[in-house]
Amino acid sequence: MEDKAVEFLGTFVSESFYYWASVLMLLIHVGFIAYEGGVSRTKNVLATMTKNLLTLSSVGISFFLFGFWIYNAFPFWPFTGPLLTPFTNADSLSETVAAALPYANGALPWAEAMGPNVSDHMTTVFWFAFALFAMTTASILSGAVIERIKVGGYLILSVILGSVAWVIAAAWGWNYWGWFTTKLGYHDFGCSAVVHGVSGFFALGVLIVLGPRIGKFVNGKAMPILPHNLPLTMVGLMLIFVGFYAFLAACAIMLPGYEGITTIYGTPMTLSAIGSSTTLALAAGIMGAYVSSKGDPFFTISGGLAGIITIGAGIDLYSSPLILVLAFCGAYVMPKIAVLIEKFGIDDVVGAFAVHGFCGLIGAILPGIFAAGYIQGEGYPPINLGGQVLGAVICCVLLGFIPGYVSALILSKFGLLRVSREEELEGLDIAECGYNAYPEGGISAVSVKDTDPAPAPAGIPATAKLAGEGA
Amino acid sequence: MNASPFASYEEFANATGAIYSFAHMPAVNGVLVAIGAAFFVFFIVKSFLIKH
Repeated sequence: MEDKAVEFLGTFVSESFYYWASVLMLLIHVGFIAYEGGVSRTKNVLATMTKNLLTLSSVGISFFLFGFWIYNAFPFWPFTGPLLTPFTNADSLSETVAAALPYANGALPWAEAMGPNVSDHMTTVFWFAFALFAMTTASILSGAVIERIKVGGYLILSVILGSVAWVIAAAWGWNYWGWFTTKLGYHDFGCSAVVHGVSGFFALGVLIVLGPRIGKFVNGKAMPILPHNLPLTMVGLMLIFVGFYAFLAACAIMLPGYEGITTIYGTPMTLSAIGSSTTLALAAGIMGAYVSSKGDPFFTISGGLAGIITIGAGIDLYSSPLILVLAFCGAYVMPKIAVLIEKFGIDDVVGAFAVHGFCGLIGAILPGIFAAGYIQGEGYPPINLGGQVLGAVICCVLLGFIPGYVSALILSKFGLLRVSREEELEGLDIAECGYNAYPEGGISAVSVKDTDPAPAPAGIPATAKLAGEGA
Repeated sequence: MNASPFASYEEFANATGAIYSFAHMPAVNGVLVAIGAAFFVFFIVKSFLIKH
C-alpha cells in the first residue's frame, strides 16, 4: 500500500507540474493580446485583440483534431522510419519505432488516452502543454500582420502554422525519437528554431504577400506609425516573460518513475538552472537592445524576449556567463534586423521576424559552437555546427518561410487575405466588431447641453446609444 | 573546439557535478565573465549618454 502511495505521489507531482506550467503559459497569450493591442492604432484595437483571442480556438481545436497526432506520428518519417498511422502494423516495425506507435495512436482525438483515464495521467496534460506551445507559435504571427489582415485569412494561417508547420518541426527536432537528433545530433531545448524560427520566418513569408499598411511607406520611405498605447505593450511583454518561464520549465521532462529531470532528448538537466539562465538572458537582452536602439522603449523591452530566444536552444547546457554574453549580443543585433527588413518594404508591426525569426535562427545555430561535442544518445552524432545549421534552416525555411509565403499567396489569389482599402482606412474595429474600443473619447468630443442632444457619433456601441437616450 | 566536458554519452548521462559547456576549461568562463562585466559597464555608461 505504501509503495502504491509513493508511486501515486510521483505521478501526481509530474501531472501537477505540467498542469500548472501550462496554466502559467496562458500568460503568454494575455501578454500577446496586450502587446498587440497596445501597438495598434485606436481604430484597430478591438479587432487586433479579438483576432489574437481567436487563436485559442483556431489552434486549440485544430491541434486537438490533428496537431497532436502529427507531433507523435512524424518523428521518424521520412528518414528513420515510417509515418505512424492508425493503420500501421506494429509487427512490421523495429523495436524503437514500435515503442513510439502507442504514443501516435494515443494522440488521435478519439483515443482512450484523450479523456479522463485513471491509468493514464500524462497524455492529456501533455496535450494541454503542447496546445499552449502551438497557440504561442500562431500568436507570434498574429502581431506581425495586424491592422490589414482578414480575420478568416489569419485563422487559416494560424491553423497551418500552429497545428502543422511547427508541429512537424517539433516532431523532427524536439522529440526523443526525432531524426534531427538521431541523425544530425540536433539540439534545441527551448525551441529556438522549432517554435520561434518557424513562426518568425512563416510571418516573413506572409508579410511579403500581405504588403504594408496603407501609409507605412511613402515614396519608398518608411513612415512611423506609432503605437496607440505603448505602456500596454510593455506590460504585455512583461506578461509574456512570465509565461516564457513556464514555457521553458515545461520543456523539461519529469515523468513518473524518473530518477532525475531530463531534456526531451533524455539528457540530464536542472530546472533551477533554467530559472537562473532565463533571468540572466532577460536582463542581458534588455540591456543589449537598450544600448543598440538608443533607449527605444519598444525595442528595449523586446530585447528581453530576443535574449531568451537567442539562448533558448542551449539553455540547458550553457554556463551563466555564456548566457549573459550570448543574450546581450542577440538582443543587440535584433533592432538592426528590424530596421533592415523595413528597408525592404516589409511592414512587420511588432518586429516578429527580428525577435523570433532572426534570434530563433541564430539561437538554434549557436549550440553548434557553444555546446558542440555533447552526445545525446548511444550511437547518435554529437551536437555539431553542421547539424545545427541544417536543422535550423529546415525549420526556418522549409517549415517556416515557404509554407507562410505559399499559403498567403493562395489566400491572396482568392481574395481571402487582406481587408478592403475602405475598411483599412476606416479602421477594423468598425468593420469587424461594430464599434470602437474607446467610445468615451467620441462622447467627450460632443458638447454637453441640456437641449437638443447631438446624435451619437459613429463608433459608439448600440448599447451605449440606447443608454444615452434613456438618460 | 569541443565545448562538452564529456567524451561519451554514457559519461554525460551519468554525470555528477557541473554539466555545462566548457566546464572542463575554467578559463573560458573567466573570459566570459569579463566580457559580460564589460557589457554591463557599457550599458551603465550609455544610460548617461543616450538623449533624444
